[in-house]
Amino acid sequence: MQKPSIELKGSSFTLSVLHINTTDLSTLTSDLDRKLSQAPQFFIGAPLVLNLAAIGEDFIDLVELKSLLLSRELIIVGITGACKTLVEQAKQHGFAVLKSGKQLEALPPPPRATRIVKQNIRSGQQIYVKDGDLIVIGAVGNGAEVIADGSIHIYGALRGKAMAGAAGDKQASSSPIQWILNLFPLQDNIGYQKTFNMNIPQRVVVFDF
Amino acid sequence: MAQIIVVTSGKGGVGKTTSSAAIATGLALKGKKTVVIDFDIGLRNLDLIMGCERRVVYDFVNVINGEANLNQALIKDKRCDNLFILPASQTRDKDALTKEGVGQVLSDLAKTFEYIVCDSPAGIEAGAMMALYYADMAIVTTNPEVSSVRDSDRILGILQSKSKRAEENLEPIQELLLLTRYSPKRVKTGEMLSVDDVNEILAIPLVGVIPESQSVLKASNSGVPVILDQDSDAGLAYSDAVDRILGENVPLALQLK
Repeated sequence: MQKPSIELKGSSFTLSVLHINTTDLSTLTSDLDRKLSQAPQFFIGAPLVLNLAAIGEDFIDLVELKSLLLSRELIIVGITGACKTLVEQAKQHGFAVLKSGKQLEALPPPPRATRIVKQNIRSGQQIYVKDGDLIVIGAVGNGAEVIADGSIHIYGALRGKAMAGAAGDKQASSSPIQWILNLFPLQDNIGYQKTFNMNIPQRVVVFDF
Repeated sequence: MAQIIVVTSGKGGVGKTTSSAAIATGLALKGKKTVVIDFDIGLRNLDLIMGCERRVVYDFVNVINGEANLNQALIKDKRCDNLFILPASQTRDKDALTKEGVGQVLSDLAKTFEYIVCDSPAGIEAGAMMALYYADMAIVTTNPEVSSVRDSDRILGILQSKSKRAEENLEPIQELLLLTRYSPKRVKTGEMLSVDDVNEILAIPLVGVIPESQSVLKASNSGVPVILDQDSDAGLAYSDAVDRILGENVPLALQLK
């Protein structure tokens, strides 16, 4: 079978990054020449990424900078760390705008799905909510277990076990475990609980229905 | 369409077989064509309570294995025209029951009967699972004491997760609480859990409260379902429970108050 005329594949390369710390082109030229003279062969035809973070909002003519570098046989493949106006200018003149690894914004934590269970949890039943909170509307019987990576709210009698913050999530501290117990005359209405993260502030809300 | 009723409890000795016999007889007396099946393979008792021990030739396991047909194994009750008994095998164990085999027998019975009462063995093992798997209604037999209540809670959890209706996301099994061996006198002195105490924990509708009674033991030993003894309070309480199963609104008997 004939190969297609183009193929798009991902690959990674190590690129040198040239940090531009001044907008003064004549200073840049003399400093660059001094640097190149130390190892002239090494830099010939080298692809470079320009890091413009140090000059901040200041203006620099990217076209002139490019021709300066080209005259020294250095090739700009893109810029990084530039302010908005420089990014615009770079796009107009066909430079790639790269984001360095460190600049990547941390992904927001996955949304917490709250599971609502509207029934009594019977002895021997276990409910586990991964990455989320659990709301039980009903009683948790003796020998039943309710577990959540987030918080647990029980609107009913807790006679079994409730374990909140099961994945050791410290953010669970912003939404503390709440037991909302109705006051039953039975003595075994106490139930017991365990948290994996002992730093979670615990608050017990006693609610008389 | 036949209704499949499982009489279950988790705990042993609370009165499942006594209740199965009484309820099946009560339904038959009300003119409903009823069959009661003993699921307690290896420890069969229902035939004793029903007084047909000597008439057992073929049993439930024979039917499942194709060694006998249903008509050969069904025993017609001598007192009630509408009542039949499908006895358990005494020489086999619970593993003789298969889900497919039980399902086949139940669907064959459903063609001729209005009510199929399944007398479950104790425990939560294969035998009990088979008895409850195809149920439409569960009568959870409970004594007013903590261990029985705990086991009933466990069985309710299984009904809600392991039954056919739960697995296929159909309408859940109708769960009814039958309190047996209830002694109002001991409740008054605080020795026994009250109806309200049990209801607080299990939170399912109450179908009947059967008082502790000498007549139950007497009836069992003589092979006559206690519901036929209409002079006893236990017999009357079972009659009321049967009326409630049939959807009638019968108030709890006065002596319990």
